[in-house]
Parts: sequence; C-alpha cells; structure tokens
Amino acid sequence: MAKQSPDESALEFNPQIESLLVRAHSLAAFTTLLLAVCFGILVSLQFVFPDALGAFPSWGRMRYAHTQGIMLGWLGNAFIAFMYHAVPVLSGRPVTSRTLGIVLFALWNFAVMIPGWILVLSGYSQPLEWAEFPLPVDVVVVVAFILAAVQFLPGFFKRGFENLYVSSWYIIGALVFTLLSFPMGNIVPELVPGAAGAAFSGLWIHDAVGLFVTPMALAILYYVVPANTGKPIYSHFLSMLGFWGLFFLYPLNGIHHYIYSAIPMAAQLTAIVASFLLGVVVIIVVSNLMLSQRGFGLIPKNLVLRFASMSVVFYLVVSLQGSWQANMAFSSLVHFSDYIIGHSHLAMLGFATFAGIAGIIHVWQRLPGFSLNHKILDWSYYLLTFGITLMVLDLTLAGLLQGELWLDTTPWIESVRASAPYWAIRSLSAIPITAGFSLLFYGLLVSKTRTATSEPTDAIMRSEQHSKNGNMSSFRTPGLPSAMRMSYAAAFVGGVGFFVLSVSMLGVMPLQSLIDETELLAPAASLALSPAEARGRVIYAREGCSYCHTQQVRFTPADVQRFGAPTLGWEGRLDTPHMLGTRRIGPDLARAAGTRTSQWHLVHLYAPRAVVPQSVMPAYPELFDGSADKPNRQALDLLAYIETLGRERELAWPEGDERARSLTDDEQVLMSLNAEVLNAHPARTRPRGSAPTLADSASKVFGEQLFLANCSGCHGAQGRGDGPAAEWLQPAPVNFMEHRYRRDLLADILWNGVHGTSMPAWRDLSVAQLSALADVVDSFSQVDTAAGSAAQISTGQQVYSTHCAECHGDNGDGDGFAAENLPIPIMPTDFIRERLSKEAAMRALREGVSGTSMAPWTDRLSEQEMSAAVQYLSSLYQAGGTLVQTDKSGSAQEIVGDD
Amino acid sequence: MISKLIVFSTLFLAVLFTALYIIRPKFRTRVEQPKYAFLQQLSMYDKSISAEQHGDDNEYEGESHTETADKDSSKDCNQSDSKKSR
Repeated sequence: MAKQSPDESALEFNPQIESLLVRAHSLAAFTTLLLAVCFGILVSLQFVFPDALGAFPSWGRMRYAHTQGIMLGWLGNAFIAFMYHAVPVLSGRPVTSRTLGIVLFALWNFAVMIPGWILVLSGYSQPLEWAEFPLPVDVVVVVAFILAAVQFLPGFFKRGFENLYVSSWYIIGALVFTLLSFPMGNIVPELVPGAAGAAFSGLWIHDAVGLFVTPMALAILYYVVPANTGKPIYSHFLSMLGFWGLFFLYPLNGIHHYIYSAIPMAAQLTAIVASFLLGVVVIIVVSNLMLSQRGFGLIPKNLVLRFASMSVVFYLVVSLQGSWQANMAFSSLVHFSDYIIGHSHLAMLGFATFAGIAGIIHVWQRLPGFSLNHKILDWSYYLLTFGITLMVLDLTLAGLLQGELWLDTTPWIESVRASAPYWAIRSLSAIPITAGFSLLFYGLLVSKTRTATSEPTDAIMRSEQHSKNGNMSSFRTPGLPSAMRMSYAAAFVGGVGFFVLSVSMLGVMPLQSLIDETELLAPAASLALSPAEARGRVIYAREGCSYCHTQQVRFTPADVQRFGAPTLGWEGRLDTPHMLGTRRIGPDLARAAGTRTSQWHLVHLYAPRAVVPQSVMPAYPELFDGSADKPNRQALDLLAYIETLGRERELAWPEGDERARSLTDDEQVLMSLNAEVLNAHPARTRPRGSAPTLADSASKVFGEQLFLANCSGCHGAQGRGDGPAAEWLQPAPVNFMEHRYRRDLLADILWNGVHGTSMPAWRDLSVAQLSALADVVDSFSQVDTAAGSAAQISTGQQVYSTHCAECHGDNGDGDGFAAENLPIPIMPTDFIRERLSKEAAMRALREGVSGTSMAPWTDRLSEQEMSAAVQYLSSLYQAGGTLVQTDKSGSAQEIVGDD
Repeated sequence: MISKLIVFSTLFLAVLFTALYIIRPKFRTRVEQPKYAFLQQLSMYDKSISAEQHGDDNEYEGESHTETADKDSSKDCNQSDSKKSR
C-alpha cells in the first residue's frame, strides 16, 4: 500500500450517506418486524387456543414465516440500514452505488421476504431451522449477500486495513462469513441425509447467530457506544481479542444443538468445549462494552445508549446460557424444551433486536430533517424490556419444568398440561412487546421534521467540513510496518481458515464417520420410501411437524426409557433433508411406526383433542373431506409416511442389532444396540400378560381427573363410549355402562392396550394412576347380574359350543382355535373376565361388532337362541379368581378379582 | 484430541497477544489506535451533520454526543496510549 500524505488521507474521508436507503431499509425492517411478530403471536396462541386458528395457515408454516421474518426481514433490513450509515463513516468512503442499493433493497424485500413468506405459507419450504425459505429463495439470498458485499466492502478495501476499527472488522466478517455459511446451511442438508445433514444444519443454526446476527449486532454496539458517550471504547485490544475469539469459536459451536444425538461424540465434544470457551470470550466482549459505558448507568438518558446497554446485558445472559446449555448434564435436562425457545428469543429479540434498534435510532436521528420523539421511544424501551424479560423468564421456567417431567416416566401429556399457564403468559407477553415495537415504529414515523436539507447538500456540507477539519492523522497511519499490513492479510486468510476448519471438523469429519458407520452396521438392503410415503414426507416437512416432534431418540437414559433404543446414524440414511428436530412439544416420532392404529392417527390429524383431550396439536382438516373417516390422499400419504418412522430398524431387529454388536466397540453405538427394547413407546400395544396388580384407589376425584384427561376423548366423560372421537373409530370405544371387567383383565387392557383397536397401552401411567382409572371404569358399569333360568343357560351352552367356541374358546376365555387367525386381529372377548350387559350382547349378536371379526348371527340363530346364548355368556363371568402375574418390576403378584 | 487443540491454541494465542500488549508499548499503541481514529471520524461526520442542522432545535435530551466527541476525541487521541506506555 502506497504511503499517502496526511492531506491526501483527509481528502479521502468522504462519508456520503445514502439517506434514502437508510430510510427505506429502516421502514422495511419495522414493517417486516411487525409482520413477523404477528406470525409469532399466532404461533404462540396455538398453545393457548389450539382450535381457534383454523382460518390461518398451519402452525408450522407460520413458525417458518416467523423465524425467517425476524432474521432476514427485521434484522437483515436493520443491519443493512445501519451499514448504509456506518460503512461510509468507518471507511471514509461512500458505498459503491445508490443504484446497486436500490437493487439490493428490491431484492431483499421483494425477491426474498415477500416471495419467501408467500411460499412457506403456501407450503413450499424446507424443514431446516433458520433455513426455512425454499431453495429458489435461498439462491436470491445468496445473490443479495453478494450484492451487499459489493456495496459495503470496497470502501474498506480502498481505505486499507490499517487502524481498522472493530466495527469494520465485524461488518467485513459478517458479510464474508455469511456468504460462506448460508449456502452450506441451506443447501448441504438437502444433499446429505440424516445425522450428517444435521451436523451441517447445526453449523448453520449457530453460524446464522454467530456469524451474521452477532457480528452485525456487535458492530452496531461498538459503533454507537463511543458515538453516544463521546469517549473511545475501553480497549480496542480487548475488542479485537473478542472479535477473533468469536470468529474462531462460534463456527465450532454448531453441533451443540445435537448433543446426545447420533452425530459422533468427538464432534459433539468439540462443540461443547468451544461453547465453554466462547462463554469466556463473550465475558471479555461484554466487559469491554460495559466499561466503555461506565459513568452512564444501566439505564442511560441517551436512548441509543439505553438500548445498547440493555442489548449488552441480554448478550451476556444469552451467551452464558448458551455455554451452560452445552453442558451435557444440563442439556439432557433442558434440550428440546421451552428453555431453548426462551434462549433463542433472548438472542434474537433481546440482544440482536435491541442492538438493531440502537443502531436505527442512532442513524435515524442523523437523517436530514429528522428529530426523534423521545417520550414515545422511552415508552417503547420500557415496554420492550419488560415484555422480553417476562417472556424469556416464563419460557425458561417452563423449560425447566418440562425437562424435569421428561426425566421421569410421567405421561408426555403431563408436560403439555403443566406448560399451559406458562404458554398463556408467553402469549400475554406479546402485548407489551407488540406495543413496544409499534410505538417505536410510530415514534420514528412521527419524528418531527426539522428544516429540511436535501441530500446533495449533505455531501457539499461534508466536503466543506473536511477541508475545515484539516488532516486526519489517525485515519491512516503513514509508515505502517509492512509486517503489520501482512498481518491483516494473514488474519483475513486465517479467518476464512476458521470457517473451513469448523466445516471440516464438525461437518465433513462426522459425515465420513457416519458413512463408515452406516457401511458397517446398516442392513445390506434398504427400504426406500414408496411414492405415497415420499409424498407424505413432503407434507410432514411443509407443515413443520419436526418443530414439535423430533425424530431422534437421544442417547440419554430418560429417552431410552421413554422411547426405546437410541437412534443410530444409519437409521436416517435415506432422510434428505433430515428432520431430527430440536424441539419436543409432542413426543418423539423416531419409532412411530406400529405404535398407533391408522384410525387413531387419522382422528388425531383431523381432530387432535378428540383422542388426546389436552393436546395442543393443530388440526389439519384440509387433509380430509369433511370427516376423519374421509381422509383425502394427502392424509393417507402422511399416514403412510408416519408408518415408515423406525421401520428399517424394526425390520432389522433383533438379528440386525446382534450382528452389529459383533462389529463395533463404539460405546455410543453399543448403548443403542444393548437397549432392552427397540420401541418403548408407552402406548404401543403388547401381548396380554405381565400387567401390574391394581389395588383400590384412595381418591375417586383423582381417577375422574385422569379419566377426563386421558380417556374421555374416546369413551366420553360418562364412560358411555360416546367421546368426540368415537364416531370415527372402529371398533367403537367401549361403553363402560354395558361392560363389567374383572380387575385383572382391566389391568391387562390398561397395561398392554388392545391390539387391533385404538385402545393404546398406558404404560406411562403409574400403578396408582392405573388403579384410579380402573376404579372409575368399574363405577360406570350398570351390567345386570341377574342369572337366566337353567333351561336357558343349557340351550345357550349348546348354541355357544356350536357357533361361538371356535373363536371365544370352549370355556369362554377368548382363546378358541380360530382366535389367532381372525381376519381382523382383535382378540375375541374373554367372557370369564368380562361380562356384557344383556342388551349389549344381544346387539352384538344381531348386528355384529363393526371393526372386528364378530359378524351378525341373525341368519343362523333365532331370537330365542341368541337370548339363551346371552344368558350363558353372562353365567361364564367369574368375578373372583386368582392369577399369578408380574408387576412393573417383574416380580410375581397374586391377583384376586373383585366382586 | 481436537478439543484439546482448540483449548490450547485459543489460550496460547490469547496469552501471546496479551503478553505482547503488556510488554510492547508500540504494539499497544498500534492496537488501541483505531478507537481514537474512529472517534475522530465520528467527530468529523457529526460536525458536518451539525453544520447541516445549524440553527435547528435539538430535542435530544440525553448526553450531547457531538460536543463530548469534539472535546475528547482530538485530545484523547494517542494520549491515553502514551499514558499506558509509561
């Protein structure tokens, strides 16, 4: 770089600001912010009023629009607006071109945001976190970033890198690294399947925050703090230490989003270590920023400083949270919970948004002809600070509660029920937040207009000012040692090297490792998705199902106990893009195949609360032709896809796992291979037997509450089999008024479910809870116990032996020789342990039982014969009885029937 | 192995540059120079803005950044580092 005289350097300081573009991007920023917040509010209301949002696009689509709107619409526009002001001042040169700026503005808002939103709301998206806009939009984003680099970076290159202020470094870093990481995060997971694709996703999730949002926010903070205190920052050395620390460590954090996943443990440990170190670096950055504001208090009078200082506080908290969340023990508690949602809101809506607001206010009050309305902005500050703090605190507590509930065997729905008040408060926190943003926007719009000065005058005035100022000895340092200049080049190359290093260590190496593992352990044949299943996967992805249901059983004892064997890397070898997920509102679905009946799934999709009364899952009536029993092709496709989840491992098990055990000594893999059961889903139906003993329950109210929460959807609140889901289920849910069960059969049904029906097992309920439920079921029964005449019973016995015994067994215990080969595999009624009311029994004989193999007998039996058979069946019931069964722990229990 | 490499390389570089900062006054001056240069740039820019808005009422109730910057930036430049150097 040629030496220049001080006068030459001074003449180069020509910070012409493109005020038009500052205004345009600021207005676009707030417009998209308010829209993105509206999407967020609708998303949050789903948890409070799950049936009230039918008129809107589905929950998942709105969540896509929310996150992309905040990152690209709000923060992207805010950062660009700020750069139009800051880059000319920092570099001493105008940006490349106003025309280019107009093109960039149009591209960012009319070719990225608006089409992106329209597409995701219409169902065209990719199920990748922070990368939800579909690929065509991603291409436009990359072009926009290239244009942004062309617009903002040449000024720095022309100026030279000597004495480059830390904000400049952050801006250069953000633009360069986002250009590298955005395509990686948005495109690579579309090509690399399963856990390996998730590794790249993890990199991008963190790079989006660490290499785009954080650097830009810190660039703003380092800019506005000295500009508004009038003092230099405390230490430029510390700021640069922080800069290089962040750019080295942030990219290495990515995989901490998938701790305990199938991604190789070496990569996970690297991310964990980098996360902890990053916490140290953040403390350096925050200390420097806080010391730079010393003397101005935590709530300075200056509005810009006020937003900046709160942003710094948020940054400290969110970063320490992030480091701590990477701790494996803590991750096993809070991962997938609302704690993480609180964390991400603190990062994007707290730290980055407050920095963005500080930047925009700083810039806006320097626009020609504008003066801020401080009273309105004051209110905005307090409302936003209160609202965001409330939301984050609320979600943090909700997450800790959810994590605690997931650690034990509490039914999943308990975590949903317990979260309800927190979700309500979260929605309420939207009131101050929305009011704060609206006031802020309004405050900027109604900024008083001072004596207007046109933009050409800006430049003239500044030129005059330059000549008055004389030289700028510090702007460029003559005689900078060549070694120093070289160090900048080396630093730049090193910076790109950091990115390459992170992708190699946390992307490429895990990919290779997983390829090797798949070759070694996976079954030779793989079952690709059928066209219907593949279409179902697209629906699953577009509706954002993976944002509530993970597809990975983690390598944690709690997950193994609740869901079964942890998901191995090869299980996702055909999943492109992966849908491992980072949040669980509903249970994991990695082993959903065979867990529920098709009817249950269809009803659950059409009217979720019909089968799970306390569910907050969105309904998808658009997949049906007006009724749960009239699914359209999309519903059937989705159902077909759900039935593939876990299928490959299920087909290979147990022989495949036995073979794999002999081939590997990887402890993580062995943990999965040695799991006691492949699918531990509590609702999965199992063969009869091994049920626990159900004693009488102490609390009737407790049982009734349990019944309402878990059973009323199908059986109705009064146990009459007339719950909201009943009309769509075959066989219909039992009307308990017409049945009396012996205690041991009831235990068996509750413990194992009824295979072939929608009655699931309830293994996530404790024995005390099952006992309470059994009491409630007993209390519904109004079965007449009056015995028929001896003649009737004798006739009935003959009828039974001739026509019924082949299925129901010679002695009526339901295990006749034909029982195992019925066209519909539902076990015949065991009349020894179950008594039907005479009306119900007659109805079954006359009409059959829809959804079972029980056909009508009116063509072969007379009314008298059927009536006699009913009397005989009733006489088979043995109220008492002793059976030896095993309890939950496997020990033998003596069961004595009731009555 | 990789984790250790990250920890040690990060710590090594941080300690190296911190040591340089402490024992080499010239390095310290160079590293801290940009914050003064930036303040001067801000000052120049804000002066030009002030000139544009000459005579207008400034409703800004907080600290007067332009005044402070004008006073501090030029005199601060290099002084602080010289103090540290001593």
